[in-house]
Amino acid sequence: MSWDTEQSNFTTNIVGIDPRADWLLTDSQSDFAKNEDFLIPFIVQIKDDLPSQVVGELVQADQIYVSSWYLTQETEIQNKAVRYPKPGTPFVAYAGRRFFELLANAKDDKSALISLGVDSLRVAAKSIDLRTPLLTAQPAWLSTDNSRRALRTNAGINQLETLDSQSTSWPRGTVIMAVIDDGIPIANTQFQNSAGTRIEYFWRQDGPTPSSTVPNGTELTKQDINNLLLSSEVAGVVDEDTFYAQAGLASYNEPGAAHKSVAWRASHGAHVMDIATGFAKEQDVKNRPIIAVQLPANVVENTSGSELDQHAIDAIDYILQRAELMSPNEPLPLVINLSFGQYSGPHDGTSALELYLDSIVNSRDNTRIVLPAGNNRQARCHSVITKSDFTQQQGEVTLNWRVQPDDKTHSYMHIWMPADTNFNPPASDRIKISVVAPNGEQSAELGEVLNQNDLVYSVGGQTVCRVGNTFVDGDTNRSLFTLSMMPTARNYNISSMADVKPTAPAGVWKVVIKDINVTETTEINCWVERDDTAYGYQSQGRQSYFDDPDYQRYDDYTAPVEVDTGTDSTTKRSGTLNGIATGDKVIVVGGMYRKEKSLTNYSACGPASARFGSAVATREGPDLLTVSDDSKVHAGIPGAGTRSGSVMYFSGTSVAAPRVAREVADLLAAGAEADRNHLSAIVSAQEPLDGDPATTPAKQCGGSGRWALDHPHTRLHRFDSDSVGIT
Amino acid sequence: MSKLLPTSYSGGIGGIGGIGGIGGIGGIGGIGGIGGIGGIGGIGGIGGIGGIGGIGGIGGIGGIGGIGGIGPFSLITNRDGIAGPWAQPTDGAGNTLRPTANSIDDLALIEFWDPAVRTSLVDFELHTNLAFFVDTDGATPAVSAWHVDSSLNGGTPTASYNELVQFTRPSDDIFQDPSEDELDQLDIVANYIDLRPDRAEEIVSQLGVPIPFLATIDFLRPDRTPWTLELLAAALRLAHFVEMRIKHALAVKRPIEYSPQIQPIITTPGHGSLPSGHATEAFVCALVLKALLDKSSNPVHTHALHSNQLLKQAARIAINRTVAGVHFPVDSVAGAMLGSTLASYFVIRCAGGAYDAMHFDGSNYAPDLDFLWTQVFNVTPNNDISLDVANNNHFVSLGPQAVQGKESPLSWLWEKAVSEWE
Repeated sequence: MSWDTEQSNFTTNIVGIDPRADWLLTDSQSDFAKNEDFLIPFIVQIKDDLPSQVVGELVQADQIYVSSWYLTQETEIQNKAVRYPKPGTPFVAYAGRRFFELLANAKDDKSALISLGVDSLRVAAKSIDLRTPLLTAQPAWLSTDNSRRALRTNAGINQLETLDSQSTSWPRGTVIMAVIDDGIPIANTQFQNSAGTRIEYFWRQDGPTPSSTVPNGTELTKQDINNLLLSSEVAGVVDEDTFYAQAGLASYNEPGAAHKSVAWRASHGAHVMDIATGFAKEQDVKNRPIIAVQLPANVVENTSGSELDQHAIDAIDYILQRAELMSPNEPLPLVINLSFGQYSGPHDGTSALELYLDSIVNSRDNTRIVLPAGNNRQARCHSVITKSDFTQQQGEVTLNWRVQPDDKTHSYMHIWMPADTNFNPPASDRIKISVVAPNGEQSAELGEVLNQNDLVYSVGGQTVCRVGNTFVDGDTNRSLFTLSMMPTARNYNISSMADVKPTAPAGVWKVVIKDINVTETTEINCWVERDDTAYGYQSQGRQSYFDDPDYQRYDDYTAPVEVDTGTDSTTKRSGTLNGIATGDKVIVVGGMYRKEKSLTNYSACGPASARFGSAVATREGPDLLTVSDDSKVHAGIPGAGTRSGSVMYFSGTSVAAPRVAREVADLLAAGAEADRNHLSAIVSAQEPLDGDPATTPAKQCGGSGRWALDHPHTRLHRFDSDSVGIT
Repeated sequence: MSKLLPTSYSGGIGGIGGIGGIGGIGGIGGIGGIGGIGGIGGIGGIGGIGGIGGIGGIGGIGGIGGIGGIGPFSLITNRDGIAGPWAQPTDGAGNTLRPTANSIDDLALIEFWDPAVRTSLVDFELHTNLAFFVDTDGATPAVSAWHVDSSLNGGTPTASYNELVQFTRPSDDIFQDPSEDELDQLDIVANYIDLRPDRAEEIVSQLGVPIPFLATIDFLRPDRTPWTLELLAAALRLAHFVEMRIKHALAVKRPIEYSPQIQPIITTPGHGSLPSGHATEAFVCALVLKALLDKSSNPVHTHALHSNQLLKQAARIAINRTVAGVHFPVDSVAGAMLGSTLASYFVIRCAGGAYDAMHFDGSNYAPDLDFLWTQVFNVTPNNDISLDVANNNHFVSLGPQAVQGKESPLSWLWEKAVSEWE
């Protein structure tokens, strides 16, 4: 066991690549690292036409794979028609390790560099963060056989099949509800009217039998769903188990023991979609058609969110395309609910996904995106370090990063330096960091300035922890330190000692941050990435966190402390806002208790950070709060289970967001703006709800105020309803 | 981004202590056991796992433990005190009075015998008219059960045989294919592991007989429908009798024997895997109940929705056994076939008619086929239920078999049960 330094290959040589690239492509033991043929999805964003055309050529040469629906531009290169993606909009590509090695090795070869367009190629590469047990292979749906590749290339053959536009005339006030989630119950009667299903299009991104109309997975149209409902009927009643088996959504004779969320009684997606747009079939709702996308199970399971962004972008692109089919001449209003989140990120709205979400709202009329604020206020995953902390600690602040035993997934921590025109990129260090392993061994120091070696800690000759620095350019322009940690336990069966893979030692890893040139206004934000277990999935990861002795969890009377008190702790409950929800145009919703009308103890808070070039952040926190629990002791709110007629209780800002999405749809239908400003005006006009200003939550946590919306389906609550006054 | 709150917590599984005594049929609560044929059996379970006494029977009716438990010594001294000198009742003319003799083999007396005796009479009627053969002559051994119709003709017994069910064991390859890339029955069991947290509580509740779960669909209670419950118990005992003989003959290994990673969440039972006992029993009960309620005066009972619920309940019980890790899907398919054939047979033994004898041809069962009740059964809008022979190569009909209706303790019990629903 020992510290060393090691030159990084990918982050040094490929401008703009994901800061974790070296970890993912070499150390991580993932299939992607070991097998050149395995493909991973990643996001690409290109500014200019020329390199974009180069990408088109690369696609034709099978170097990378891009689904034809992104290849919207056409040009001629050497008498051959080349289709390429539109510059300025991010798209999703798939490539093997070889591609990244090509990019890295081209650094010194100027001609190769230019021909690849690497100069202005911004690649935000993410990886598949594989669980170590059982799954040592790529998910089956992402296989590398040629028939799948063909679906993703545009070499003039095997393009994606396009569907026909609909000739439906929609009633006045029609708003499309789009839900991206897990375990979506497409047979549930809450999403039907007298004509059958209200779901116009459904995409299961990891369906094993690929449809020809989507780059991966299976698509079902309204007709497909209605046909399946009919064929699953026995004596006039739909047998939903049969339906989901026939739809391939819950077939147990599918290879690979993936989790089938919709086979359970309850799923995240069932509840969220019901709150967003569930109506009893008898209500015969015709003006809320649905487009639904089910994320791959391995993406949902990976709560660090490292696989989410690219599939979310694919999902939204799909939604926009299908929305156009539904009404080609007159675009219908559209509300998209994405009840997912992560802890880390620049928190200034400049991550690839956040920029994309903003661009969608900006570029399409009457289009709104709703996100949850996050549930991690008490998770101890955010620390802030300022000059006064350095002054109090003799110039060196230590963060205790406690990495749990039996954590079978990777753990990550990020240290974001603030944007600063003087450090764009940094020519000198504002800080240097070093890391002390649980056994006391301390690493060398690493500063901000680029092209320094990474710090690596090895066990048995293999890296288990890597600490690297990068400069994230594009719109972000901030320095970032990335700490990547191996699992601390593995659950595998070995047939020889050669099968044994390294694990990181569990315990406290001290991150020592030294003040080199920190000013009074420098604010250093550190986040531990999320590592918990999604509902229904097997638990694998265990959440690591900052274990600061000054952080107060309980008060003197043993009650839990819910908001930051004025202690000396660098670990904060503020600044915990969902890492994909700090953009300008998205509507971000936090949670409140229906009865007490107060902020829930878990609902995450701002502030967000100001982005490069701005003095002020575009948001202080979530935009508003709505109900996510009946009361402090009656957790959760009721919503549909997967099976028609069933009811389950779920809690969390994930179920608050769709309630607002439902209202936003009604507002859009009435011709109102229904954007952040409009919603803020609505809730702030209602504050304070009981006439007592002291009850209004702080802006950082509660946004403009509380929207005490009644439950969409029931006025029955699990407590005495003397607390009326609900709108 | 959210947390689910289960509406029922694991407290329900707290009753695991009861598993020790689950003997089922033949266990501590079983036939001949203490309190077996005297206890309330499955019905006692309404309210929890307590009543897993098994198919012991419904003896609660009348099973009141003797004459109030008064011992012989008191009766001796009491008689000494009150009997007086021996005298016989006579009429005015000096002739002794006596009761009228009973008729030979009079069914009307059944009502007055002890419930345990009735159980024996019914079981004698059912079980002694069965024969079982193992035929090893063909390429694959076939095991079969037959109905025996026997009669005494001029002092000489003669018997005729009608086939009831036949089973051909599936090839070992469908349970665990030699190639690891092929999806087989064991892979499906492994895939179902994911559903365990969702079904665990049900699995434990369903360890015993299916009666408590059918009692949520139809109004079954010992004080209200005692004869129906006695009838169902008889059907369950028949199922147990036949299924165990077949299980022993086929001797199919359980999932746990194929992999150390299945790790079932209940104890793997000590008998062969195919056919599934739970599937057989659940479908026997569901379909006997359905046949009974076809005679109900309540139109709700004769609607197809009603038989849907019975079939779905039986199917869920069967599938839960796969989720638990103690059965393959093919076991449930075979059990559904056996249960449905035995149900038809049972009803015909009660009321006469014809049943379709069935052959389960395991050699035609595809390794990647899961158990879906809608693939196994046809339900018509007229509420007729039959096995979907046309679409299942592993179901081979051996043709209708007519059985003479005759009066017996069984037919008597059937009529009593029917009267509870009229």
